[in-house]
Amino acid sequence: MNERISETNSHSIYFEPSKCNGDMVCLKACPVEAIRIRDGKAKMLEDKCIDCGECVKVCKLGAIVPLTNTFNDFSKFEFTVAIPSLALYTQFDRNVRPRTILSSLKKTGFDEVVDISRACVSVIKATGKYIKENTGRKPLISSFCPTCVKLIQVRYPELIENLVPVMSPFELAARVARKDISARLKIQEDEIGVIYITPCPSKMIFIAQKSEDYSSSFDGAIPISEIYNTLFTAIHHIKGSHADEIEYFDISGFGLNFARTGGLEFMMDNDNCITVAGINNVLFILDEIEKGKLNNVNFVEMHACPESCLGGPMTVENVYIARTNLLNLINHFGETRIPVGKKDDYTNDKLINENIFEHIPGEKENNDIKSALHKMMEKKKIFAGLPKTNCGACGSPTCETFAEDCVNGEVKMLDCIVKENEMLKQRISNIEFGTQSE
Amino acid sequence: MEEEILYNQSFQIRGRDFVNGGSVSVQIKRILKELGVKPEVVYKVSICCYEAEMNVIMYADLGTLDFTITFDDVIITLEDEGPGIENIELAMQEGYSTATPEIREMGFGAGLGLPNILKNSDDFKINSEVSKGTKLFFKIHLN
Ligand SMILES: Nc1ncnc2c1ncn2[C@@H]1O[C@H](COP(=O)(O)OP(=O)(O)O)[C@@H](O)[C@H]1O
Ligand code: SF4
Ligand SMILES: [Mg+2]
Repeated sequence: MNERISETNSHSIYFEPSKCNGDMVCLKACPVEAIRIRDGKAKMLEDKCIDCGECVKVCKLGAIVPLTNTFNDFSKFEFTVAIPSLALYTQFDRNVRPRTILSSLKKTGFDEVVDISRACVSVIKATGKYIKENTGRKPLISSFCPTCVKLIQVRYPELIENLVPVMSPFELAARVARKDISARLKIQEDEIGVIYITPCPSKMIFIAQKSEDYSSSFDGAIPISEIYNTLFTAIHHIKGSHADEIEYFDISGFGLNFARTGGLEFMMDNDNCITVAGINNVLFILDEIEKGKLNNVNFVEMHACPESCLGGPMTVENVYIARTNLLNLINHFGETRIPVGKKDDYTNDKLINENIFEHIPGEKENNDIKSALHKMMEKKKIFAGLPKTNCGACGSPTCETFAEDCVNGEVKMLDCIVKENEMLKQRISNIEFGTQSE
Repeated sequence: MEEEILYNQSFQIRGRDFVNGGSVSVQIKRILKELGVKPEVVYKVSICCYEAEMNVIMYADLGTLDFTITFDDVIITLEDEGPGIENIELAMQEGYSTATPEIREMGFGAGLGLPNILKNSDDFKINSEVSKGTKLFFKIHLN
């Protein structure tokens, strides 16, 4: 395991100060205002970060590092299984089929690889049923994007109960694969390393999280971008001369819809569902839910990335091509609603776990209303005196966050360059006034 | 003993202002979240405020919502000028609604608003005078 990922470190992104030059690209890119520049270096506010990876995308200095795994982290396992995100199938030339990709992936050094398209079908079936039978809160919200889940846990904890507690297809595939391999090959379950090939760092936080109610079936995750080059070579090798090495995989064309924006909605045939993708759109819709405006909607499919996982921060192909590739694949495999499968291990029971999502208390959680109110008033007062240009020169992304940081004693009023300038002008005019009057 | 008022703010709600529907309850919700109030409490307060706010928008002309925080409670009073409610017992029944077809088309008028406020609050009072207005009072414990 990467040494920085542990049960105590709740983030999948690391800021490397030695590589940071303190420019403000990440400061402005963070959708939840979780970055500050202090002493010339970017730093993460741990209780605000939702691991979306937007900062990883914009930092050209390599100073913001996703805490994912590399291949070598899994050498301790007797047997390794790779389970790729469906996004992997869209990263290559449109004529490269999932079978080729999976066979090549295995060749790069895994003992087995597993496709998740059929697990997607089972999970969506269970999700659709859960939504139909829901008599509680509305709208229900999809929980397959870990960034969206974390965002809700941190910023909208009162909406945690709206999350659909159905296990994600990659977790289902991982759980079944581990059991199946253990039984088939007589290997202890804990000697099998199950690895997610991931489009985003945020999956890591859920893999590292181990609690009484929930623990992931994965042992780690390798980014698509990390294995891309090796896999690319392997694919061309196999295609060129070893066509017979391409194994058979039971891909469900219908299940592939899971990877596209609006795919869940399409697969479920439930009424009154909406789809939202892209972190800023997600924030907008959560605000709308917060206002009560979506109380009549049954289900919201939510993805932090534009074009959902195809636009993940650790994918390689641009999302537009990836999207066309995916639509091609869906076409190729046909949209048959019943997955054709020899064995069907993915049954609907045990897919629901009501306690998966806990509230992650941020810095604000407290019982001392009086001092919290005092802080709030203080912040309002400071904010009123600020220029509201949101220039970021103080190292806080907005004037409002600066006011908050002031109240928390992290910065001083004169760290605002406009305030400092005002103060200097005042001093100069005092001096001039002083000289004149002599 | 009178409870010490820690915070108080008033909001105006205009009848038929559907564009801003829910904006008062969301402001209240943001304040409570900023103060670190428990998510369950935030949820209850926002449900109650939203229903009360929408009722003014749908049925009345002008309302003033008064929001107070004490050590133990969030206290809301909402007084409106409007048609009032003729039969409060009936209005409190689940499913009873006088919403017009247009309002129903917008997804309101399920007749669950007042019952939901009653359900989610720890203290609830409603008074109304026909062709004058309605006064709503509810309280939600912080702990
Ligand atoms: N502020 C108000 N002014 C006048 N009438 C009201 C007001 N609030 C509620 N009512 C009446 O009570 C009925 C029930 O209200 P409610 O339970 O919120 O359901 P709904 O709003 O869906 O009709 C309304 O249809 C309306 O006739
Ligand atoms: S949309 Fe997909 S790639 Fe993006 S954060 Fe969510 S799960 Fe990860
Ligand atoms: Mg109502």
